[in-house]
Order: sequence, then structure tokens, then C-alpha cells
Amino acid sequence: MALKEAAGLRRSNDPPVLILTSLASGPKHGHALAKDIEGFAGVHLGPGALYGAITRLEERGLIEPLASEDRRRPYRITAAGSAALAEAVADMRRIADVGAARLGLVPGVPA
Amino acid sequence: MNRDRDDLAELLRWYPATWRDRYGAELVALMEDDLDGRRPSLRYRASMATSGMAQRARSAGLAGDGATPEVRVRAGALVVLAAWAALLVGGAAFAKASEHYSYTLGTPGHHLAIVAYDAVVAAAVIGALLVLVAAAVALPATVRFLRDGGWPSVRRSIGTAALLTVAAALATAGAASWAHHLTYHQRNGGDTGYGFAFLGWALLVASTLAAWTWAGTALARRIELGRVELQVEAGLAVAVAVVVGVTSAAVAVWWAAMAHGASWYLAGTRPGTHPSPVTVQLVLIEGWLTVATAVALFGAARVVRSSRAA
Repeated sequence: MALKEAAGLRRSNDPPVLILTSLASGPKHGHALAKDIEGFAGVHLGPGALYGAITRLEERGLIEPLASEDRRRPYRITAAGSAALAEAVADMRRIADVGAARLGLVPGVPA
Repeated sequence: MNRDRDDLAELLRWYPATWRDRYGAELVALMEDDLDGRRPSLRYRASMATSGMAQRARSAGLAGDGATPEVRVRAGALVVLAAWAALLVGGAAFAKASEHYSYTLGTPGHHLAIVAYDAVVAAAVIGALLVLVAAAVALPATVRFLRDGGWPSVRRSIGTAALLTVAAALATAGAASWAHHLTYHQRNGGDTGYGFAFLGWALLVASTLAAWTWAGTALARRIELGRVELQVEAGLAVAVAVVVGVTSAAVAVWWAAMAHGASWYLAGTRPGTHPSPVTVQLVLIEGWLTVATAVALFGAARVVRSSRAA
């Protein structure tokens, strides 16, 4: 089974993919994650959906909590999380490249 | 602020206790940031309730793969047990609906009706034996659990079931005594008071069954089963799910056979008439059994999938 499937990563708008993508730029707590995801993906993850995904990602060892100064606990991506995200991103890029080429959106590549 | 926090913390009640202990404070902090002083809307509350229930299902091993395969197998088996309890209720209603159906012997389709009815009875007996074997397999682990001081954690659910059992036994004795002094017509809708009493008795018996199922589930979730015991329980659960499905199908066949040759019996009219065989009572019974079958198959599928990983 592919790493990303074992990690539960499927589509680009899946909450786990969005969270890993957000954490790839550094540790964040829940609210910062939600704002970042809304900014780069235009997807608003409610608290329930966000923490449901955080729970699954932590169970699978793809993210880990950091010591928190208050109730807002930050999380960071683990090495396994980075590997799973890299595989998922490569898959998405491959599909995006094919789509772009077939639509004639890539200069120099015939449709 | 603290009042708002308490209000938001109330939304956590949908989540399992172990999850709340780990993530509860963080989630309340996130909700505070997210709402920024606004009160949570009904939709927001509904979303939290849905997420909490989903997390409960995951923690209990009913959804996702977060729980261990052993917990998932056990959860699937307990879902089948719940479906079996539902089948008993539907089966009892079917027994009442098909009372004295042998009066129709000789009408077209009666052979098939007899076969289907016998299949229902046989399935009920086989299913009961399977459930008893499952209980016997879990007995040593149950004794160990109780010896190790587990009684307080199940005392309430088992005590409630025991109390309801006593109440149901007393109600049964009372109803039987009352029925003894009534005619067949009075026992079958002719006496309004008895009709309501019978309905109350049926609800009490169904509640007792539900209470024992709840108590059994509470106990089964806490005991430590060995690998072999768990595999046996898994196999028994799949077999019980098949029995539930066979029963539901057999009731449908009985209904079709009776509809073909004796729809008057189903509608409660005179022999020789041809009323519609679709009665509210049988629609509800077959609908109930179909739901029980769907639940049993869900549980069995969970058992089979998780057994491979266990």
C-alpha cells in the first residue's frame, strides 16, 4: 500500500492533507492552522472537523504535539508526515501536470 | 468569559471522555478563537455534535481504523448482538401477527408459508443457541473481570436490567392472569383496557431486552478476551448475522405466500374475500427486521474486515 494511503491521505481537499500542508511551513496551533488553510486553500475547517483530523494524524504518527504555554497546543509535522505528504503532493502534481498539458496550459507542450 | 467557556465546554459532552481528557481544553480554546465572542449557532452546535458522535464511533471501534483490530472486532460483534436483540422484538411481533395462521391450511401457497414459518422458528432457535455459546465463551473472562474488581463499573447497567426483569416477570404474571378471564375476541382488540395493558407489557419486555443488551455490551467491552476466544466470538457473530438475515427473508416469504393464498387472514376479514395483503402491522414488522438485518450485516462486515488485521 502506498505511504499516503496508509496515512489516510486521499484528495487534495482532505482535512489531513490540508493540515499536513499547513504544518509543512512550521508548527501551528488549531486556530492558526484553520486560518492558514483558509488562506491557501479557501477551505474553512470547523473545530470538529479540524480536531477529528488532528486526532487521526496524531494516531498515525504523522504529526506530534509540542509543549504548550497555554491551552492552545501547537503541532508539528513528523518525518513520517513529511514523507506521506510528499507522496500525496507528487500524485497531485502528476495529475495536475497531465490536466494542464491536455488543456494546453503548459507552454511548449502540445495538447 | 468563564461562562462562555463553560457553554462551549458543554459541546464537548458529545465526545468520549478519554478524548475530552486529551483534546478537550485545546478544542474549547479553538472554539473561543473561532467564535470570537459570538454565541455558537445551532448549525455550529450540530456540527460539534456530529463530530463528537463520529469520534465516539471511532473510539468504540465502530468506524475508521483508529481503534485496535481487537476493539473493532469486538465492536462489530456487539453491533450484531444489538441486531439480534432487535430481531427478537420483531420476531415476537411476527409471532403475534401469525398467530393461528394454520387455520388457512389448504389454501394456495400454504406449503410455502409453512416452510417459511418453520424457517423463522429454526432460525430463532439456532440464533439463540449461537448467542448462548457466545456468552459461554465469554464466561471465563467475565468471571476474571468480576474477581479483579470490575463489578462497580457494570453494577448500574446490570442492576437496571435485573430490576426491569423482575418488573417484566410480575407484569407477565398479571397479564396472563387477566387474559385467562377474557374471551379470544377480548384478548385481540375487543377490550381496550387489556389492549393498552398488553402494549405496556410489550414495551416493558422490549425495554428489559434492551437493558440486558446494554448491560451485556458494557460487560463485553471491558473483559479481556484471548486471541482464540475473540476469533470464536467473531465467527459466532457472523453466523448470528446470517441468522438475522435468514429470519428477515423467511418472514418476507411467509408474507408473500399468505398474500397469494390467504390475504383475508392477513387483513382479518372473512375467508374467501380478497383484501389487500399489505397491512400496517406486517409493513412495520418487515421494516424493523430489514433494519435489524442491515445493522447485523454492518456489524458482520466490521468483524470480517477487522479479523484479517487482528
